[in-house]
Amino acid sequence: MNIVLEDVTKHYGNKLVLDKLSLTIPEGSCVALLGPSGCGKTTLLNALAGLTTIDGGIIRYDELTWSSKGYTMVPEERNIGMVFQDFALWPHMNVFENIAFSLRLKKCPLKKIREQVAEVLDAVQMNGFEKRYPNQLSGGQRQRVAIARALVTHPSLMLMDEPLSSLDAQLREKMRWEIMRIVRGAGITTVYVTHDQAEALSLADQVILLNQGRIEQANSPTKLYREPATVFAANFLGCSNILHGRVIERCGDYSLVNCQGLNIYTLGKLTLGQEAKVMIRSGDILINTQGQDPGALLGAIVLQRSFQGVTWQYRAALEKAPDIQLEVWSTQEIEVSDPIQLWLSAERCRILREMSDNGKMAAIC
Amino acid sequence: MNRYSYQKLSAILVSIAVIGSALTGCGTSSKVSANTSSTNAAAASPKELVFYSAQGYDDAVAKAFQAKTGIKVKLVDMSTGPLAAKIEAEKSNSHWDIAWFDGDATMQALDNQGLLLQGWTPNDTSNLTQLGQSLVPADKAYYPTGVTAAAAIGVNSKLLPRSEYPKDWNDLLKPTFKNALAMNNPSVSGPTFPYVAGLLNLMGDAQGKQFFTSLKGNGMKVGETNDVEIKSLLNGQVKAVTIQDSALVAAKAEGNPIDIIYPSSGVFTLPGVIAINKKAPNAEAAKQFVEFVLSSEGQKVMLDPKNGGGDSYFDPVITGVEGSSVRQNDGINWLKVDPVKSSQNENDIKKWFNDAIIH
Amino acid sequence: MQLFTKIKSQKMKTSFCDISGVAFLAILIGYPLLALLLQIVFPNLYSVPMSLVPSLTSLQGVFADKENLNAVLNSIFIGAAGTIAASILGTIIAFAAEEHSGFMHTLIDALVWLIFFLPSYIVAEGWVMFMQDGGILAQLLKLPNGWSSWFFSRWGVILIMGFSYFPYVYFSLRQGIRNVNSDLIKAGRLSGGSRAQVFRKIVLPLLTPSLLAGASIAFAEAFGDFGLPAAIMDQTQLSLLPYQIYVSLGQSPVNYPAAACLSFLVILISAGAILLQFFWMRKKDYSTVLARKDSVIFAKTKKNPLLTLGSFFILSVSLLVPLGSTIIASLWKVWANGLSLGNWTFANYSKALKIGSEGVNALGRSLEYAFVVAVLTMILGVILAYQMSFKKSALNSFLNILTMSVIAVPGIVLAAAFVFAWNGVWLIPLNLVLYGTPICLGLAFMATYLPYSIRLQLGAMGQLPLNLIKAARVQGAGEIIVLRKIILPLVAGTAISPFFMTFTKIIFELPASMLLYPPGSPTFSVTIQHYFSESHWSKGSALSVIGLIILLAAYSLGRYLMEYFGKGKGYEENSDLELNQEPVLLANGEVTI
Repeated sequence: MNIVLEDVTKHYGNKLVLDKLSLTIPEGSCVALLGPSGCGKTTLLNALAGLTTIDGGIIRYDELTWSSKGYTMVPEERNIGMVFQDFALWPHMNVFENIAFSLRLKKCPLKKIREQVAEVLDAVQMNGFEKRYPNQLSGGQRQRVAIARALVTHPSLMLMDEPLSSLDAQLREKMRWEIMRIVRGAGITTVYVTHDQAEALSLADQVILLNQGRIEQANSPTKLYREPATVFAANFLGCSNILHGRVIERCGDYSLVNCQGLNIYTLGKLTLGQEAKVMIRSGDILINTQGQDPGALLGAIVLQRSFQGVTWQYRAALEKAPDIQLEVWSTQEIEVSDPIQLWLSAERCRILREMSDNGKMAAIC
Repeated sequence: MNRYSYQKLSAILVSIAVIGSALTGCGTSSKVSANTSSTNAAAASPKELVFYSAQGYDDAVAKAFQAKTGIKVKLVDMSTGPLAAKIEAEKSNSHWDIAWFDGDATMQALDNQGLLLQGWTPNDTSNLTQLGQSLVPADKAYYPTGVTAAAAIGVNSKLLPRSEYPKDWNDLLKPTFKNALAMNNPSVSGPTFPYVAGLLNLMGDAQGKQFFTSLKGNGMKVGETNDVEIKSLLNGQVKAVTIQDSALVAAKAEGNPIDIIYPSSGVFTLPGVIAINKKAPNAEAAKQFVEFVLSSEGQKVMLDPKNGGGDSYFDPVITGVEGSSVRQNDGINWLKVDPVKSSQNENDIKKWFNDAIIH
Repeated sequence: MQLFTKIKSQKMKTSFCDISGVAFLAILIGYPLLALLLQIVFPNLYSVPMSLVPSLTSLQGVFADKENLNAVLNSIFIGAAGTIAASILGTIIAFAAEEHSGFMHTLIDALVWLIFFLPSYIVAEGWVMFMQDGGILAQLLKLPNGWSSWFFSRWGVILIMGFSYFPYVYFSLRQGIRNVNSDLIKAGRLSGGSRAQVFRKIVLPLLTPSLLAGASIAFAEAFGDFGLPAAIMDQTQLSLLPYQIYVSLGQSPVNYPAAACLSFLVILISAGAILLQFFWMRKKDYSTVLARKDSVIFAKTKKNPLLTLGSFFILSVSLLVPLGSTIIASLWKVWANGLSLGNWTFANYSKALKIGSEGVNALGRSLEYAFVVAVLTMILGVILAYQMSFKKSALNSFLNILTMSVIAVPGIVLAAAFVFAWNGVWLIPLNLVLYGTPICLGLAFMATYLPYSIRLQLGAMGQLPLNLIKAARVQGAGEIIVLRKIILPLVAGTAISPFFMTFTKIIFELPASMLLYPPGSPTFSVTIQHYFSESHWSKGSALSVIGLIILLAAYSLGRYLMEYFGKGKGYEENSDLELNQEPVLLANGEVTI
């Protein structure tokens, strides 16, 4: 049973927060809502939970309407689990009571409550902590309890609101694996809100990139990472090399783009004279090596370098256009001020569009 | 532990609430039962009386009356201003039987609105002195229970030589009293209004107003309550005060160095007046009460300073009843302030005083 | 953000709950106010026979009288100056309390609460007894007459207002200080600012919203105060708006339309002050609310002895002068003999405490009222504050206006409003004439103190992380369960303070008690007032002291309960949730989410 959103719209005063947003969340999938703060991801999450109304469109669970204009099914009837950024464990209840809360409301017999609580505590590896109070737990443990509390009702939808952002870096890494294990293990449809691309890419089957209340791009993690469609998507997914230019030549499947006097080959058939933005990932630029396929070889000088463990990160200024600085990652060690040759393979150079056309998959050419 | 403390807290809160409601429940039920038992006991006269009063001796009189007749008296005691305000506020659906306070002008205002029982004569009105008779209005809506002077002149006998004692109102304009005289504001202090109204009556409107304006020019201070005036007289901030005589007598009775002068041209009557509500729920009991107050038995209760404090130093208007020996009981030139006229002009006079003298 | 959605087609239960809360406040507060204010346009509404002919004469009368304009200006001056004085004192003490921890902190806090509880007429009488010519200070220091004439003027009124209204500022500032992001202060110090500079240029501007929130309540109180100026000030100096109301009540026949009109003016101006503060806060959003949770401690390392000394001086003056004077006076045999040897006695107490005496009976009655009303006020305060903090609707501003109006209306006018409302002839067929019954007085008490209770609770609920409630909602809890199982246990600590505030204030409440007490059953405050007006000063003082001792006992018990449950509560160290025992008096009922 899928969750379907059609043309969902929401205003706060004059501000449009969700702009005719349409989306299908297949059963059992894990969808990440990714975007900067203010993009509408939390509002969308609240709308899914029934914690806020929508002004237009419809949210339905299979054929059952959850929200539409003027109608909102109350949260307690949707059978949803939710994990919050600050865990939101009730400080006056111990772990057992926190988890048992919803079961008690359903008037489950105590025996069944005990069983179910034990089961979810097992799943999050927190057996033996039943009597502890939230303040007696570490951050990671609180997170596990919060997840257990959300799981205990076997919800039809699990919502996670930046669940890792209040943990420190090491713990975050560990909990990311844990959440993957638990959520996948339970097979529950999950919507995961985050502003951290690494979290979104590593956890989700499908990543929905939101920008100003609209879907900028929706793809699988790998596709989104490799083929961002727009400038916004490329920027948000950590690509720092974006060159501006104009198409000056067509050559089979390739186009030649002139960027401040530099000729860069890209994959794709573009109209001559068209303005274009070309992106290439830092890790895709080769240093002092020339590839077999079409591409451009550019001379550059290393301005700065920084050691990252596996790789070095360099900032290099192009010889022919010193205004353009490219970020390059490589395992080779090169001194600052050394001249280098950069190879920009046409296969890796991608044309970006300025804007998405509201949610439809952005295709290139 | 945590959960326990919460449970304890809620347990305590709940028990508090239960005890509270039980308490009030008990409270009301015990009251109810007390009421029923009293009605049972006094089945012959199942009466009670709601009694609004501003007199200091009201509770003592109420108790004496209750002891004598068995009629339960429910007293509401407050000062005259709020009392009148309360009576006015409930005039469309009144709850009181008897109203009793100082100031026939205020009572007349209630009468003018048709709130008082008119035309009833208590059986002992013949006992009223001549002064007393003069204070009964033509429509017999209320009766005087005693009289005080709205203002007499009080001087500090330690600070003012006898030779400089004022004899009449006009003497207060003398240089002796420059910056050394005080009176109350008629808008705030009830007894002060008949003093101002009476003086305007005595001297004539224009001259009377001129008199107060001259007093102001002579540095007269205007205060709020008798208590403050007496303290400033005793402290020597002023040499003379013009306030209600019973307050002066009370202060003198405590041993304070005060002499009281009744000006020769006359002082203005400020009677204590009692009236019955036109729609009195317990009119019969109310009539009995008024007759009790006018009897020498009732007057004796009123005249005991232990019961009434300063209010007990009034001048009785019942033949054969003697006032306190501390006060001067003879040779006072009483001038009646017409309550009908002064209640008509009250707001104008107060307004004039407020604008011309206070500000 | 709107957390609780209004459900139209489903679940009538929730919207019914919302409505019932509003309806309750409307009946409790709105109906009496309306009953009073309607007289502005229908002056003969309560005449016999009733007439619904509208007339604007009273409005014209009020606005044509120049004296009223004068009074408005004077009242604004006194109110503003008193508020400034209260703000200065409140700021000093709030920072002194912030510097200390442990016992000293608790002591300062407890003293502020005591001052907050002191009944205003005891404060006024106490100061008069202390400062007047031949008063206690003059007798002690052999001061000449006239030494204190400066005090018995508007300056004295402003001084006392400062000393008695600073707790409002203090409560609100403490909350604000707690929410200031400590990084901002560190940044200031590191940029080379001295402590004083950082305080003046960074801390104070950041605290202006809380300062204004407290100050606006102090203003509403000071602006509408009649008793204090009347006790201290010679009326020849300047007329005040509450005094004009008193004058219209003193006319015969009583001019209720004018009183209603002037009261309306008081409401308008007080509301204006609060709105002003509100808009100011909107314009300058400093968002101290969003600050880090680990905020705080200004300079625990280096205490400023001057600050501590100063605040203890202020605290002792505002507490000892009224209390000390009342206690001393209660021990005098003869009032006029004053502080002389052999003039001391406990007789006043033994008289007052005689079983079956007027005083004891009245005290019992007042305790009963206080207890019942305090319990109800506490419960309703939680429910209504919950509605106002977690559900935004147009009704909320209505509730805000209602509660603020009650704080602004002079007590005697509110009491008169209750007479009109609950003695209406239209209630006779319904058998609902509550006037003259204990219920009417109880309702009036509740109307007087419920707004404070709501405001105290709003502060506490503003501190609750919203996610705790969201979590319960998605876990399947309806609103009532959220309120019962989540909110109530979490705000239980703060729920106790409105309880004790209501309890102690009712014991000494005068205007409503005076006008509304059931015949034959006077309350404690009415009895005290009766003694004072009969010049039984020492007896009245003795009764006041007894009341104060009960007040103190009730407060200590409350404090103890709060500490006790506060210690037991396990989430204290949880930095994600800082529940404060200190309530805030938010002038606007809004909670930023």
